[in-house]
Amino acid sequence: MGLHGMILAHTVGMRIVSAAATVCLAVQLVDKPPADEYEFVPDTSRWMIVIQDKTRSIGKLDAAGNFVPEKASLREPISVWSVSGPPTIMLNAPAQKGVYEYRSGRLIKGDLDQHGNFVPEIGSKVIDFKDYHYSKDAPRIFNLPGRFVKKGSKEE
Amino acid sequence: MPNLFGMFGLSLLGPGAIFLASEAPSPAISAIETSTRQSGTTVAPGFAEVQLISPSSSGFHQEASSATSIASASPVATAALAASGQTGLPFGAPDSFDVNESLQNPFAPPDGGQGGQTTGAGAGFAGALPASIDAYSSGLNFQNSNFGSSGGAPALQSGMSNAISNGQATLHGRPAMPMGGGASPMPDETIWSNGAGGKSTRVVRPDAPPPATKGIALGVPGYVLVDGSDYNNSPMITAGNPPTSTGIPTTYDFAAAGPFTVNDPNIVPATVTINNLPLGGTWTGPTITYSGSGRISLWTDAKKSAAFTAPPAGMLNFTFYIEGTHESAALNDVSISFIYTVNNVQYPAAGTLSVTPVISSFGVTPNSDPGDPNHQNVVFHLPNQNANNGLQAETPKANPGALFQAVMIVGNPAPQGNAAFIQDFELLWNGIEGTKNKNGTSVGWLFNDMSGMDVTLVNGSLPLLDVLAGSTTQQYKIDLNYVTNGGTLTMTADDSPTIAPPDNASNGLAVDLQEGFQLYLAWEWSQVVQGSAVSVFYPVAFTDWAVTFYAKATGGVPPINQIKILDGVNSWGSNDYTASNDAPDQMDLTKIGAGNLQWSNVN
Repeated sequence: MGLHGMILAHTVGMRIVSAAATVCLAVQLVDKPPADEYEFVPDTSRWMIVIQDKTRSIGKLDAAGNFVPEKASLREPISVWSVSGPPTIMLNAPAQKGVYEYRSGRLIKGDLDQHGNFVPEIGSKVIDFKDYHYSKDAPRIFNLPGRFVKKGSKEE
Repeated sequence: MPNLFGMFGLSLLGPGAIFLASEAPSPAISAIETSTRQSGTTVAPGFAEVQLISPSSSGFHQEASSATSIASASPVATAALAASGQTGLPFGAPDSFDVNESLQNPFAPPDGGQGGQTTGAGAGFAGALPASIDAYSSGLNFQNSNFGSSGGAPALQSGMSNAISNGQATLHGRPAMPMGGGASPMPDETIWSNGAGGKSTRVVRPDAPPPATKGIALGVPGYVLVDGSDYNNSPMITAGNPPTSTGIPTTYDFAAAGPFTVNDPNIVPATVTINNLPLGGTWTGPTITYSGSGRISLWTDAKKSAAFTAPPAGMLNFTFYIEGTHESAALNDVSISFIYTVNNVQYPAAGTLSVTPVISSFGVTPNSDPGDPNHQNVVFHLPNQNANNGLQAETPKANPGALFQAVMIVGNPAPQGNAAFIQDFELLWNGIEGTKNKNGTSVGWLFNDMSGMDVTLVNGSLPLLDVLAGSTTQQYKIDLNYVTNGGTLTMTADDSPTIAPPDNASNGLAVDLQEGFQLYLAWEWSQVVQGSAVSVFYPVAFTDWAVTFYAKATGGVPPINQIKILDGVNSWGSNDYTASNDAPDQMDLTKIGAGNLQWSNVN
C-alpha cells in the first residue's frame, strides 16, 4: 500500500478502459501554434494516481500510454492511505470533455467522465500523435507519457 | 651524529598521510632557492650564499652577503686552491657535520682577518678540520669585495661552490633561519670565528646529495568507518509478533569485547616502518590525540584479540589495527603518534584520520517550482480545483514537497555498507490552525453542517516507521539515490505526504492538519547475524520536518477550494540536524505508516 521501495517486480498493465456510452462532442481544435514552439519530451518516470470505484492505484505510464500500477498500491481503498509517498499526478480526473487518450502513438478523442473513465467519441478520427500540436488551449492528452516543453527549455 | 636542523615532517599530503620523521637530510640546493633570508634576499637556484657576520649584543650582525654561482665557480676555486697551497679538499663524506657539535667545538680558521676584511691561509688549518667543513676549510685566501676587503677573487665562495658542485661540501644552512637577534640566534648554522677582530664567516647553503632518509614512517588510513556493525554476532533487538529485527544490535561492534570469531572489516590496519635507524631504540606511544568527536581504539588484529598498547618489543616494523568507535564531526580530528628513541635522538611520526561518516550537510528542504514566488508545495489532487480528491505535499508541477539530502565524507575507496535514511512518522495534529466543529473540538476536516472528522491511525499509535507494507528493512526508499564523488557520498530522497478525502468531501469547509516526521541518517550494513540476514543500522543524526495541510472553502461555501498555506512544508533546514546515535523512536516493521491513516468522526 505504501510506496516505499517502488519495487516494480510485478507490474500489471492496466489500461484505462473506455466505459460505456459515448457522447459525440464536437471538439474544436484551436489554431495550431507555430510548429516549433513546443517539443515533446518523453517521460515515463512520473508517478500517476488512478481513481476507480473508491479505490486508488499508483503507478506510471509506459511509453504506449498504458498505466502500470505498483503492485503494492493497486486499488487501495481511498478511505485508508499511507502517510508518505512520491509526488503524483492525478491521471483520470477531473472529469473533462474533449480530451485525447494516447494509445501507442495515436490519439483518440473522447471524454473523461465523473468516474474516471475515458469515453471515446463515436466516429471521431484517430490521429497520429505527430499531427498534434500542443498549446495551452489545445485538447489535453490525459495519459501523455511525457510532456511538452518550450524548445530550448526544460520547463513545461 | 645526526644533524639536528630539525625533524622534517614529510607529509604525503591529505588526511592520513604518512608522516616521516627523519634525521633531516640537509636541504638540497634547490631547497634554498626560495628561502627568504633574514635580510630579505633570496638565494637563487644554483647559488650558495656566503655571509660575513659579527657578534653583537643582540646576536649576530650581518655585514655582507654574497651569492655566487656554483656552476661557474669551479675554475676560480681551482686556481685559488693552487695559490693557497692546498691540493684538494681534504674532507670526509658529506653530511657528517653536526651543527651543534660545531658550535660546541668551534673550529678556528686561520687568523688574519681584521676590520671588514677577512683573510686566511690554508697552511694554518690543515688537518684540523671537522669532517666536511670542507668548503671553508679549503683554506682559500678569501679576500673579496663581498666581505668588504679589497682585491682578490671571490675565492671563498668559489671554493665552497666548487666543493658543492663536486658533491663534497656539506656546509650547513637552512632556510629561514633566525638572524639579527633573538633568544637563539642562528642555531643551525655553521659559524667560525675568524680571529681577534671578531669577524666570523657564516656559510649558509644547501648540501650536496642528501643522505638516505632516516626516520620512522607511520601509515594510517585517512578514513576509518565507525564500527557500528554487528560482527560480534550479538542478537538483534527485536519487536513485534512474530519478533522481527529492529535493525539495532544488542551490542555494536565498537562496544563489544573481543575476540570476535571473524575479522571485522571495519577494523583496518596501520603500519609503522623504521628507515635506516639503528636497532635497540625504545618506543613511546602510541599516543592518540583527539580534537573533535572522533574516537578510535587500537587492536592487535581485526578480531579485537587484544588492545594494541605498545609496539612489539624488538620489532622495527609492525602493524596494528584501528577501530572507529565514534564518528568525527570534522575531518582529521584524530591523531596517532609514535616516537622512536635511539642514541638519545627522538624520531617521532604522526598520522591523522577521520572516523566516518563525517557529515558535511544533512537536512530537509521544502521544495518549490523554480520561479514560484509562493514557494508552493501543497496542492489539491485536482489541480487548481478543490480538495474533493484530497491534497498532497508537492509542487504545482508535481515535484516532491520535501527534499532529503545528506552529504557525507566517507573516504575512497568506499567503506563497508552504505548510508541510509530512516523516517518515523511522529506527529499528527488535527485542527492545528484552529478549525473546530460545532462542539468546539478541533478537527482535521470540517463539513458545512459543522461536523468534523480527524485523521487517525487504523492500527497502533505514533510514532510509526515510514516504510512500505511488507518491507524487510527499516530504510526509507522513496526516490532514494546515491552519488559518489571521490570520497564524498551524497544521498537523496524525497517525500510528498498525502491526505485522502473523507466521504462527502465535497461538503467540506476546511481541511486543517499537520503531519510531522523525524528523519534519521544512519549507516547500514547488510550482515548475517545469529544465522539470519539482517540490516544493521547505526544512526548518526536526525532532523525534523512537517507539512501542514490547511485549506478552506471560499466564502464558506463548499467545496474546499482555497489553500491557505501554500508552502505547507517546513523543516529545521537544509543543513540542520542533531548528531545522535540513539535508535529511531520506531524501528518495528509491524508498526508502520503505510496504509495506516483514515478519517474518523469527531464528536
